[in-house]
Amino acid sequence: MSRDFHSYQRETPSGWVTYDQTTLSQQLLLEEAAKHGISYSEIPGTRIFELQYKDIKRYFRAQVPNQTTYIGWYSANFKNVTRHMLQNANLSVPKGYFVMPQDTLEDKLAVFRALQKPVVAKPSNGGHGKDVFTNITDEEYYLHALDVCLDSNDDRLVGVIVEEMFKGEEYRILATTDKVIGIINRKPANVVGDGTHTIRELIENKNKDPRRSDSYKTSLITIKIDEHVEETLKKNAYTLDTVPAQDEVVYLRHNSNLSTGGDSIDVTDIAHPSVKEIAIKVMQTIKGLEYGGIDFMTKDITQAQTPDSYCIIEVNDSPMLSMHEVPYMGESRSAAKEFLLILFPELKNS
Amino acid sequence: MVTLNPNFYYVRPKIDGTEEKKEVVSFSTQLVLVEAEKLGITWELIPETEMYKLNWNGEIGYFLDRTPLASSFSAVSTCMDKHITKLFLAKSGVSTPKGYSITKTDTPEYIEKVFNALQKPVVVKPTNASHGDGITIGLEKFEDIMPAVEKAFGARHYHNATVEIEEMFVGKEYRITVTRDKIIGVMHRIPANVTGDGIKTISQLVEEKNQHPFRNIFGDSEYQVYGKIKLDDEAKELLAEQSLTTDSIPEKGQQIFLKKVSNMMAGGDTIDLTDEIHPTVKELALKAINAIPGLAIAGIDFMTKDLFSPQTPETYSVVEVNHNAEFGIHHFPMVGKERNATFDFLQLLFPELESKS
Repeated sequence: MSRDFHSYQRETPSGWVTYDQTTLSQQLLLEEAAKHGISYSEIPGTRIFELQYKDIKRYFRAQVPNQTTYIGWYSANFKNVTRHMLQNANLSVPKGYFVMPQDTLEDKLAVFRALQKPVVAKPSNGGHGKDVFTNITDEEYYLHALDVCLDSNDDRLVGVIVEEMFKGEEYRILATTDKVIGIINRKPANVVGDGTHTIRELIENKNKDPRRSDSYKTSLITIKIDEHVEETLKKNAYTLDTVPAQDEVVYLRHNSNLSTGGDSIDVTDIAHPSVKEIAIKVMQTIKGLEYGGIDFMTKDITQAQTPDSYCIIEVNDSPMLSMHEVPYMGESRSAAKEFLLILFPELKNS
Repeated sequence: MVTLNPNFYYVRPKIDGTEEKKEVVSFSTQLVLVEAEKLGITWELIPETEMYKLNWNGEIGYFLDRTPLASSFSAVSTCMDKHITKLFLAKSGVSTPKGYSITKTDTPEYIEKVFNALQKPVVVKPTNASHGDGITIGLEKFEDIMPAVEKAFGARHYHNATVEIEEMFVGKEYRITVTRDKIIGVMHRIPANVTGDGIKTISQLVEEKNQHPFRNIFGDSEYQVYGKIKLDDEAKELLAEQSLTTDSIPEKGQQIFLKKVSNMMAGGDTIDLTDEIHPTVKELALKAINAIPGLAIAGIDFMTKDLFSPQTPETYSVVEVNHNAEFGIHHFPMVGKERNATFDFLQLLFPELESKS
């Protein structure tokens, strides 16, 4: 399907020049708006869209409606703040600490020693899985991870979250302050064997899916063969030329980010009601966040959750809603429409 | 009870049970807390954040630093990018300095093209820094642009950082603190200066001026509402340009500037002019905040050739809109009437609040 993506432009002395385009998530919002008779335009040069329904004007930027406050954004964007607020509300977060640039080597090691291994280290305000280190078990690799994370940003509020690695399945829950819109099970990049094709061929085939591309203009991203993939295969004594058995699932990475070729499977209808309750409580705890994506891990999503069975990893203010609209497997959810209902509650009466 | 205090720090609990001081709570924030207590509002700082939770007879309000819960993310992200702010202002018909934003990947040839398209002198500044970090003003020659651009990018290391090159508006500087429907205060901001008496040297005048109680609210602390004037290299250079030294004796009534930028922490002065502005200034300030949807309160940097006459598109320019307003200058003007800006701020959290002063 070819889409007419909106172009972002900036003004130069010789006129307006395109430098970027909308993502699929944003494009879905604009297309959904048009369906409801809402007109839209970008305020030139700002990346902020002005939408007009009847005589009401509202705005969004990225996938954040203008009802989301700065405080809501701050609480989600700075992961140390998110952790703290969730913890205060008796929601489970992994045990962990916030390491800052000024901490001494001794401070840093004390954090590592106080936690159960393996641990995860990630910048306190990163996104898209950038510079996230998982499965850290030794001090040397831990200190390397801290260096990389601390180097990635110079904001005074920024440091590194170091926390225990929770064992369970990864989910992304899209929610508002009173409703769960969709739940996606995120799987690391993988292929399923057919007994005849090599892993390399299976990857090539999987990448032919029109829902996959190299950019955020699709909801799924191409699987790239890199050293992480080869390493992951090597751990199972596989190579790219191995021919997996019929129906054998071969994982190609450890992380389940969609941005590195992972799969999204809608599981909204099988989640236990307690999962939805927790998600709504998270959204109500992060004051002023009206629409968000919760990274949720649990041992079993179909069972009643207890404090030890699940963990909230982070909350995203701009939640890549396309994964719910166009999942790899399972039902599509009206994530764009729900966004517009937040922007224009007036639509409910029409 | 909270009292104004130079040792009121944001802290971070450390793993060994100790607390580490992060940075001092801004004077404006402290003033808000003092005013809140006066009105019977209790407050708590949410640990490990700069976020405050306030409770007024069971009603809950929040603010972060000096931004109320009511300010939206898109509004604040607009203010955090000075170029995008100008695009919003321009759309509403508010005059702004003509300029272009450049990215790290732009070539020197492109930057030269930008420079040539602008009237000189120009200003180079990071689009997202505050307190004048990384800003260079009064640039006339292209050879001075690249170092200024580097300095501006250096102030912020973000991969997607941008720098604004804009025409420098020549006029006086004012800070207008405003909500969407009300002017809280209009402050004339003046760079550090002394006025001669025909007897004392510049050094002596500076020393005398530094005795002002507003420059010593916190005793010897470096941290004050108004910084002390320092006769540093910048000041000496500026004096040399006027063929003066620190030992020169200015004539009676002669005003000598010691800084180029009107920064209060660098010894600047303020004069409250809220009641004297021309009505068109008020209209423009309200138009400026309303140009940014979802912004509940702002500190507008307004420049004009004459604050007391009707403004026309050429006589004024809105240079910046700050989402984190400053209250200290309105509570402690060097000259003129004091304004209870923190009350107006708290009223954004609790609209039913009534003034006790």
